[in-house]
Amino acid sequence: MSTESLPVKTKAAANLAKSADSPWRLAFRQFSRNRLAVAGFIILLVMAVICFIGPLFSPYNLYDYSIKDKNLAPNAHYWLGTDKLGRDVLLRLMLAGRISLLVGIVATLVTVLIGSILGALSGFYRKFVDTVIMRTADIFMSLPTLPILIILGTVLSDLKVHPSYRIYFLMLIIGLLNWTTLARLVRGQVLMLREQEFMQATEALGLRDRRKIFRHLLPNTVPIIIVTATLSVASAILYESAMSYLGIGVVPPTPSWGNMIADANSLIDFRKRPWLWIPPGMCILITTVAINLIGDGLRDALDPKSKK
Amino acid sequence: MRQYIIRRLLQMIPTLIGISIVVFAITALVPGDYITARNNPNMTVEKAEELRRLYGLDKPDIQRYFIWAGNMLQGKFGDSLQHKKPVLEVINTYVWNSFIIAFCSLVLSWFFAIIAGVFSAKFQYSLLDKLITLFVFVCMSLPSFFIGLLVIKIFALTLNWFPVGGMTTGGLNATGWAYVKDVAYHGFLPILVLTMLSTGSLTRYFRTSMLEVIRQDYIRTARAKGLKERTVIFKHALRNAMIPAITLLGFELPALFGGAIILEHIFIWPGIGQVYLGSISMRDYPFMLGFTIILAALTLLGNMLSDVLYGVADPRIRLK
Amino acid sequence: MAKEIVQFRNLETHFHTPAGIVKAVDNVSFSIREGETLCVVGESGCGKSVTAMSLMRLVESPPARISGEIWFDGKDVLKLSKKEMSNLRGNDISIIFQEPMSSLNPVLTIGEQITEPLARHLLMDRKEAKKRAIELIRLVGIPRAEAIFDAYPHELSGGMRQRVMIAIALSCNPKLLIADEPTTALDVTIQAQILDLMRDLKKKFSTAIMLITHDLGVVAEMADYVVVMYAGKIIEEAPVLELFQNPQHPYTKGLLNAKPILGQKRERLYSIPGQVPNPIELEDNCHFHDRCEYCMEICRIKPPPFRAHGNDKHKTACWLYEEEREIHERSSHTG
Repeated sequence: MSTESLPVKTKAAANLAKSADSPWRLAFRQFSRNRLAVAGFIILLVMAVICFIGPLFSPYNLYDYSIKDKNLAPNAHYWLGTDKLGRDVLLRLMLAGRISLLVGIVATLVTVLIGSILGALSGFYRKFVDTVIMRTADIFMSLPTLPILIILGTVLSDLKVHPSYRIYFLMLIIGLLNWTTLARLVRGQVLMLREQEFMQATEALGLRDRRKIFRHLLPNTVPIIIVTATLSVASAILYESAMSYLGIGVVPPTPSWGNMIADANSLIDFRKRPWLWIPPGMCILITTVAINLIGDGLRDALDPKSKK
Repeated sequence: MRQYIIRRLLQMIPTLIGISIVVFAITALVPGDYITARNNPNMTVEKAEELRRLYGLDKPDIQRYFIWAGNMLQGKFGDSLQHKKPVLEVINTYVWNSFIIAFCSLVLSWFFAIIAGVFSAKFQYSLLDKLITLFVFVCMSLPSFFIGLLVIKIFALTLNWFPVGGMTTGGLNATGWAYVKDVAYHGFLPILVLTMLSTGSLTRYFRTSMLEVIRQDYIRTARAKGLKERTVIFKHALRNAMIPAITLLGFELPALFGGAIILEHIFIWPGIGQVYLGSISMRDYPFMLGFTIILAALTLLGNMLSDVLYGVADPRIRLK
Repeated sequence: MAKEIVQFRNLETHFHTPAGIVKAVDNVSFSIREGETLCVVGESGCGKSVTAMSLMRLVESPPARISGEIWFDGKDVLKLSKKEMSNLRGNDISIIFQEPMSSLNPVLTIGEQITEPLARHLLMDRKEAKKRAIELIRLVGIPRAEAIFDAYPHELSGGMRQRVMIAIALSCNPKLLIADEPTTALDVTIQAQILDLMRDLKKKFSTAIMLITHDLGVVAEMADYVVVMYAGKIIEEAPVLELFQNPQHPYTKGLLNAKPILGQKRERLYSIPGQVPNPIELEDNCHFHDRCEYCMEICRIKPPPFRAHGNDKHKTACWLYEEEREIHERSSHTG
């Protein structure tokens, strides 16, 4: 016996004792023990609640503001001050948060949809399908993401897409460029899973491919999808904010954290009115840190193999 | 090894073709062209048509793709419309400015990441480890443009320690050592931000890698030999932990020459990233396409390089 | 009697795991004499290796608490400073591990790994160390020593690597060599070669050896003295002949029965029924009771004392040999 084998043994014994619990319960317990991850979860929750419910309690709105209150520093009435049109920065910040969070989440849904389906098809059919999908993935992986996003954002601007529809395109674009990582991971899982006995059972039952993929294979890849998706929400928010900052993502009047920071492009606002651009920046930072912490906690809890 | 490299290079060809199609298709989506983007009020319709013919902008997209791809194959990237110079020359002018900050931050971030990763792993679960972990997460989640603005605000405007932007002091025309100093003075902040951005994930990588190595039997052997802990960690463990990390070095290739678009924009650093951003708004197709393709090719080359480096670094693979 | 070079006194190594305390080594005392080969026998998980690693102070994870005393060369090893300890390791006490495949650093050459302790403990310069390393490689029976010096571990077979490990272990002429299942991971023929090598080297250098094994065949070949461990405790110790001829503890008897004997026909190989108990939160009793065919009432509730019964070199911890059990049994019968 080596010293190292001992903890393994005790761990195995401990797991044995808890074997009645479902893997999800175990994962939940594991996650809740990770203090950083729980902190991230609480921060994100608070952030989301403030952004979605906060505006309801705001005495201000974005259509009825008084220009005489413009460019006020934070004070008792306007906690985070006002912008050049006299709009309440706090209110805009919360509304922007809605947009930024939504873009992050929906873009990730797009990513998950494409990534998991293509990954599953690739792993399930192998051969030709696999080659085509994985070659395509290679191409997408080699594309420089930010430059392409900037080009596509410019396209959106030139097509004169209406600002209120623009965010949908944005979600789609960001989601589309991100699918390769997930597709590869899902493919790997499916390749492994399809060799296992329960899949041979589905073979014997004569199930149709669609059922095999969607009812038997993909559900088994859910943990890895959840982990990747969580982390990709953070990167989607970062991409969105960068594009919005450059003026080719979410564009005014729709507020987003990124385009609020674009105020800093005016030298006077940048120098003299930090309340305009520092709060949205901090919001992005806090949100992405929180999401990354959650994602990491989830990885430890759901994907024991990647744990070191 | 040579055969392997050749095989890998050949495998890159279809991927590159695919990339070129995608990139061209995306740029073809952009309505308007260089002529309209210049927005010259003196431009008559006839003149514009003539210019379009001159630049080959009047042909259908598919035909333009083949013309472009054909030229590309012969190494002809064409002339940048905006700079009126060959694309490669424009790249050559600006890419080194980008390279300076990218290279410095590469060296610095590896240095810090190795130190932080090693100590974080060595003292796993300690306060130091937790602080480093938190720092890692912050770095990994930084919005580059915001943090860039923030350091300018703090260090350049409030504290007045560093210049707001640019690469050299205007009108200084320094040469030699003074020039190097001036560039370093201007480069400090962008390098700082760039380093922060990449140190996070690298540190994490080294930490995990070290944690894995530290548990290995040969580390126990090294300790059992009575070696100093420093030798055990930095010689026996780190060397092993470095091997998988070497592959990351290959992935840095596109970052070294690709420029940091947003940071260069914020720090007004005359690098290739900023030129690229400009080329997009100017619809400078030859440059936009050419440079995007070069970036993609660098990514592919980087992937290959990382595999080759892995083989060189690991004696178990080296001899095969 | 030869001088005792190591004395374990009431050694306790306890691991604190989330699931509870694991008493990997529980109140263990024994000595190793100069020039003697002492074998520690037991099934995997019984605490043999942890005992050795406690002596080396290389027990790391999970967090362990080591108490008691380990006297080596007039000093309590457990009280040495980190620096003093590392001066001892690889110099006065060295160790060979079970896994030759993973015990050598894959990215350093064999030469580098052998010369390290030479430079560290004997302060040799590069040239001297290389010369000595090549001598050592020859000594452990590896041909082409110069070529092997520059080779990487993956170029050698398991047996070769174990020889290299032995060369490293012997490099500074240790007083005690710990061999933790040195042959378990090797092919049978290679096993014999490695054991022969160890025996030869022992004769040559008169190093004391603490040999950890679960293989009684190895014990029979190598040992002068045997310590049998079960679930963290020593349950029997005796000179090797005495132990083989007159095993006392039912567990030792079981182990001896479980070994195939050449020329003796048996329907089936005997094996001790049951399994090693879960090491977490063991009760205070004879840990072997639930596998023991002679199990009595008292075995379940009270740990047996460890002492000699008759032959004073032969100690056993078993109620079968105690007077007290009769008193206990009588009282439980009457009561």
